Amino acid sequence: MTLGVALGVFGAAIAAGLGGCGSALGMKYAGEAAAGVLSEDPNKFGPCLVLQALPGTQGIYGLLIGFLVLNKAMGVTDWHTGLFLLATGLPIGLVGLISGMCQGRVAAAGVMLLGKRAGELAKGMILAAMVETYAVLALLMSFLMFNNI
Amino acid sequence: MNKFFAIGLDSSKSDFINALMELGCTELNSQESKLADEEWAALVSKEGGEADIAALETKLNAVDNVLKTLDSYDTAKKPLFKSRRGISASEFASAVAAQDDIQQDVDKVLALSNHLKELQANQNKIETAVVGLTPWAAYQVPLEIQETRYTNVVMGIVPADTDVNAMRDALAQATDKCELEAIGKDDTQQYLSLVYFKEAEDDISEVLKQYSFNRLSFKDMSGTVAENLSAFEAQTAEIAADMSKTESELSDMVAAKDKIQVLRDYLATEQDKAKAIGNLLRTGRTFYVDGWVPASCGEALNSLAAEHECYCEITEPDKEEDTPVLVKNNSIIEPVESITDMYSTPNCHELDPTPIYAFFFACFFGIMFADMCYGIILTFFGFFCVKKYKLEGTARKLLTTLGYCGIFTFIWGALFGGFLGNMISVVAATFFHKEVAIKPLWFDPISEPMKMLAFSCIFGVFHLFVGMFAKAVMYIKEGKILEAINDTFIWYVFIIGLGLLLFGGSLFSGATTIGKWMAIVGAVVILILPVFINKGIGKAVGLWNLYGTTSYLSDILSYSRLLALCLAGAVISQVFNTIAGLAGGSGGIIGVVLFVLISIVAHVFNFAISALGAFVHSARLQYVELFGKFFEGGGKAFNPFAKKTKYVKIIKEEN
Repeated sequence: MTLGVALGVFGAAIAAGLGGCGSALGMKYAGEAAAGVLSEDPNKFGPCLVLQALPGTQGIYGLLIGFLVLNKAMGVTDWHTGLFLLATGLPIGLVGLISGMCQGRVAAAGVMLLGKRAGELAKGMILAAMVETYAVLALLMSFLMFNNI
Repeated sequence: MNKFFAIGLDSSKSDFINALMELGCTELNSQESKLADEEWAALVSKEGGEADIAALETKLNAVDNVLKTLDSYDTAKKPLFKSRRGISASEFASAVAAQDDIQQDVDKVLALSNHLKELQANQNKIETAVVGLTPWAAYQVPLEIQETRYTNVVMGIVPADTDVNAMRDALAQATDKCELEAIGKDDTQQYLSLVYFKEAEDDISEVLKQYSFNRLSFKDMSGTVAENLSAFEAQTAEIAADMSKTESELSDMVAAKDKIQVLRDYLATEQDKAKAIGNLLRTGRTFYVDGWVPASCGEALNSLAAEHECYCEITEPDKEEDTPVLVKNNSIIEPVESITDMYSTPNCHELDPTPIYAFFFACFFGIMFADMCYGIILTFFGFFCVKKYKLEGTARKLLTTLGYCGIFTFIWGALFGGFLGNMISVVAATFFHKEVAIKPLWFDPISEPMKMLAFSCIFGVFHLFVGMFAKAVMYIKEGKILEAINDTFIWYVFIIGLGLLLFGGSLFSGATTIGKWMAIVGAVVILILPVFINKGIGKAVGLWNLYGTTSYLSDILSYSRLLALCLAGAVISQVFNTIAGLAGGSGGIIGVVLFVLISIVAHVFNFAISALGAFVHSARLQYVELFGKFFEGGGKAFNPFAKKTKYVKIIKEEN
């Protein structure tokens, strides 16, 4: 086991771990709001579930980068490459954490919107998707970094 | 969309409204605002008829309740999507003719469900009473006996931790004219019976207070506790029998549901009609109505008015006036209107964006979801549901749109070489130890992400250019050529120039120079043109416009999500396949079973989350990037006065 491998694994841990945390927190906010709306009108389960699922993508992006980085880290021999892999995990890890949380807040607001106006699912979805843009960009950055190793 | 108004004789009023409803292509305006106008108010009054409307409303509510009740007793399997049942006009008419019979069914269901509610209330009451009485089961004295000539007979409770023997001793000390007996005990209380001479009341009251003795009485009951309990038991059995009988009768009534649904729809249309009539303005012998009619229906409206001896005039609205909007597209594009409706109905002064972006929506969805197998499933699912459930309205449009998206998903899947990720390679390697791979028709975005990023941005630029072109078309229609150049065409030059300047070097030699000059010319024109268009301070607005380059930059970068989501879906598929392959590699039948199970669960998950992502982000690219260039929305959808039925679709018969 070399320092390079350890650093690379650390990068994978940051990507998958923080990304997952962001999604979990985001889904928590949206899910709590959804349960509140469902107590009034159980028929809105489908749309509420869609809104709750939206902040789930950060975790998947994190997992994706984490998996790629982990695969590569196992064959690393020098610590420079390891550090590079660690850096690769940072964008999606950090942005995934923050944007997941924030997207969850917006999705929760979308659920409230849905509670008052049944037909406005699309607007809630789009507002939440705006936040995700930055997770998408971070994923892109992480992926490009990974590809340039 | 044209305006119309019609004036007719009071006698033909109801026939005319009826015919308008059958025609189903006019929107009637509310006349409230005219009544506020003094000139109008001096001549006319409102038809009214609130009592009729309210009566229909009551009936309708009852029928709705009945249908809800019957729904809960209907054991038939509910379809995935609700759709209206088609019935012929004559069937509808005969059902309406028999509405008294149907009403009887409705009344019967109402009576039954009320009876059921009563029974439930009784049952609850009995249950409460039984809970109260059970601890007293050993009490022998009939409950109505609360005193005799010389004694009081008292029932009461003390807390569970009270020492009853000590209490008895204390009472004995106070007086010898009382008898305390413990009847029962549970976790919280002890149940006591106390008999004492009336004259000893004062002597014992102190002791009772000290031991917090609480008197209870069952005044409304007679007989012993045991008798009461057995009577309740009998009653409960009786109620249960009655309930199951009532419920089975209700279940039998489910057969009448279809007819009641027809009645419900009939009542709903009658109510709409009554509301329309109530909204009319009237003088002594005439009525007045106005509203909107699509230009294509003007002819039909005129002849209908003539038939009913009404004076009808159709005029074009003023240019500035906001009219309701009826969107018309050919049958291929029409389903995508559902995506426009999610954003907003177009307003009456602008283009309908649906035909402009319909292709892009499905295409971008396809890029982000790109997988042949997913595409086949999605296409099949979308079109199958529409066919199978005979869907209408938004559900039909959305699912058809998903079907289109599925087709593009398949196409892009083939171009990028995805079939459940790399399923085929994994299966070949795990079970047959061979190396097989689908060769992508174009290129594999996972191994060439930079190429994919470049193409994402190029698609994006093209998409934005189309949006800007739509804006230009709107300007040109209004005769504003300079504005069209300023907002659209010069930006084409500028953006393409910038693109060539920055990235053109690798395309062909000299591209950078061409790009440089295009960008310079573009920038100069962007700066100068507003001088000719605007007045005053607006002449300097070109500088601000040039600053808008940053917004174009962020718009174009936004299309990188095409790459990101495409990669996310494909890589996650591959990850899942790898995991399934590891499990499958353990060998034997168990390996195969594990492989199949893991693959199914994983791909269902990936399908759901990726499809949702692709849908949302493709919609976002239309709503934010494309619509931002030319579309405002905020229109009011044309809402025709027609038969709005919920359960049945009336099919007109050809004669």
